[in-house]
Amino acid sequence: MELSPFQLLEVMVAVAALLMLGTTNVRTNLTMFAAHTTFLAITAAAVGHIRHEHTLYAIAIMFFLIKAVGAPYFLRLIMKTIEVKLDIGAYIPTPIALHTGIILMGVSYLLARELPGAYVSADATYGAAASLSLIFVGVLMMVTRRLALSQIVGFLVLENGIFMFTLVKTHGMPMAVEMGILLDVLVVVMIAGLLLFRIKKSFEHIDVTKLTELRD
Amino acid sequence: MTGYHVIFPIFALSLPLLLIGVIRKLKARFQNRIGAPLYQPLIDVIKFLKKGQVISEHASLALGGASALSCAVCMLLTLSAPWLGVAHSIIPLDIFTFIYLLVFVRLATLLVAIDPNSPFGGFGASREVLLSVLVEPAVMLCLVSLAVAGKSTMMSQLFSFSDSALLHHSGLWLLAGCGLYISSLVELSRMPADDPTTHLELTMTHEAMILENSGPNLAAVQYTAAMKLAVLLGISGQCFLHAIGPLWTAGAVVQVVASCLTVVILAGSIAVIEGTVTKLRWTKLPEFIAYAVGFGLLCLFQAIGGA
Amino acid sequence: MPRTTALFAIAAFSVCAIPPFSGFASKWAIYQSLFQFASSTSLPLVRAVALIAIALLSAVGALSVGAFAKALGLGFLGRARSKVAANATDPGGVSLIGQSILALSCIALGALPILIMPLLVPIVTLAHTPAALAAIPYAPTAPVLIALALLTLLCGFAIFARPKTVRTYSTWECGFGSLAPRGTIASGSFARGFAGMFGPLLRYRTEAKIKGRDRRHFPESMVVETEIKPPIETYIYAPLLGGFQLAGKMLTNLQTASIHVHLLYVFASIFGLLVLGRFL
Repeated sequence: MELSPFQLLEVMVAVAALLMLGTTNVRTNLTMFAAHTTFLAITAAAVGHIRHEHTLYAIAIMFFLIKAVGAPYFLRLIMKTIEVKLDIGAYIPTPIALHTGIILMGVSYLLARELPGAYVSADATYGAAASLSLIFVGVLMMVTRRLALSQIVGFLVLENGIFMFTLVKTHGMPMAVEMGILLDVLVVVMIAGLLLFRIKKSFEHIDVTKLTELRD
Repeated sequence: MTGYHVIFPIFALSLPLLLIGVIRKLKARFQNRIGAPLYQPLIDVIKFLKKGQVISEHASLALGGASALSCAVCMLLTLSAPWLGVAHSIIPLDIFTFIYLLVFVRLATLLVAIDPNSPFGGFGASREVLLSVLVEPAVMLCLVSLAVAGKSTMMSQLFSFSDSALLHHSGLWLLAGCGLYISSLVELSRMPADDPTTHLELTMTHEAMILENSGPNLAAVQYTAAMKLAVLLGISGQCFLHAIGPLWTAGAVVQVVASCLTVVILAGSIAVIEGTVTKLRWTKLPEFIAYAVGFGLLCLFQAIGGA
Repeated sequence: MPRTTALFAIAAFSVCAIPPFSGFASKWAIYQSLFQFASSTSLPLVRAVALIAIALLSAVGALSVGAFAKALGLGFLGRARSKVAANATDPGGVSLIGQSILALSCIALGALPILIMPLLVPIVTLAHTPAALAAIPYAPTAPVLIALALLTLLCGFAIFARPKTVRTYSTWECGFGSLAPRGTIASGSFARGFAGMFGPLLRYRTEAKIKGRDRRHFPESMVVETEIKPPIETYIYAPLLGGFQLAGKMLTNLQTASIHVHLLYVFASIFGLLVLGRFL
């Protein structure tokens, strides 16, 4: 499998997200998320360079600032405020989560080969495979982690996967829609952070399994 | 016997001790000390060779014999494995022989640990077996993926800069390098798997196994550890170097110089890790090794995908 | 028992597939055949299975290293763990000759796989299309053996030669005084690490009973029991063996000591054969 530098970049985006599954340390997760989103911003800039669309440069910069710098920084503030360092636990052991993520990456490659339409390069299977695997990884994180903070990170990875898919496979979304989505994500993260703070103050924990019981 | 055949063994057999010196010096800098000079490990080995021994009353010939065997195997690996970017080797080494010579070193170390009847050696050996079961598949997956992509199992051919089958597989080389680097950290008992300078027996894995050695035995054991470090770091460094496309067409001298620099930089990275990271809890170690297996699986995908 | 230990060590090294012994030569052939299988096919699933088989084989090899380090180390090295073991000596000459022949064949077959491999060619060509198999590669163990022998001599010389002062002292025991044989590593405790890893499969259970007036600070007695219920031995082998034993017991009823019954058996079988010969 010989990869051009652009395809290598796409694969690195997916691998960086995959590495998040293997550890429950929240700080490590946030650092890997920042790295993964940085790679994605560089990919967006590379697509803009290849297709000569200069709006993509602006989108890439905004993406980097909001999601690679802003969101992890804000989540780290929340982490310090509610004093949590380690995820309370996951429903499946983290090595198994990591290996499941890798197998899902293989599945997404098999799925991506069937998808039609190539936008950026002649062979867009790696980009589509990477974005599908990002979606899978995000969903896996949301489903298996017990800490609400990790679920927010999983949601952000899912968002990244959808963004990457539109970037690589289609003409990309219009500028206004992109900005709107980024702003929505920013607001969602802020609201979620504030909610976490309130939950912690009321219930003394943010373990979502315990939140399923109704109090009288 | 050209000059090369004389210079290369001397250089290859003395660089490992220099690497240990680099690690210790950089670590000392992190701790705000000047640190011993770079050639201190060499002087230590010579000093230990001249000293007398204190042997446990329960130890047998296996203590010295197994140390000698592991030192000999490591010397063979140092002279044959392509860890310096040079494809010259004294025996035809393929990846399975490479891995199983490392297994030889591990078995000899286990025997050295169990022989003097020390309880610390015993449970150090037990921990080492547990770690090796998890690390072996990772190393094997990385190397065998490279072999499948390169259509050959001879290490000298895979790691030479002239095998055109592997020229454009930068992703595969990068992933294999990461997997081999993490496995090396565990196999060499470096942070975050094990603290090589701990004095608490209950936290030792590797140190517990060499507790009973002294004198020339200790010299052999230290030299073995140095050579193992050099070979494993060298192989992962070669993987990273092979990912750089333009280096394949540069001259042989440039490649050798780049290989030596890479090995020194990786040794420096070990020192940085030891200065900044704490040792993982014993129960968290399988998670860390799962990363190496994960990288091996990603290499496997690359190998399957190619025709 | 130095001689038996050395011969057992050669056997243990061979089982763990250590170059240059015979186990390595055969395991190398397995690895190479799996690798060539993976290289020659282009179906991704088949390739994946072959490569994962290689990885699993190496994991099994690491487990066997642990098992044989335990067998060799706890059985033969270190302090004797029981009175019987303390009084054991090497067996006589003939037993040693038998062991030595086997050990020598381990080394010989390992260093020169040429002795065995050509005998396998007819079997392999039956299973393969002949064109696919040009030549079976041989494990490169002879150069390994020679190089290792020379280098071991060098290192052994460095370690053992030149009379240096050798002082005998007790094993490091944290200052508690000489350890009883009970204080050393035993097979159960050695296996605890990796048996725990396979815990759900082997039903590995550890039970510790601590007795004393103050159990935490001044225990008076400690009993630790480990239990393994390996599934294959318990649910497949044991019923099979039980069935064989039951069948054997039932068959002993036929074997009485009476000569009349045995003569009856002889005549009954001759009669039966005559009847069969007449009607078939």
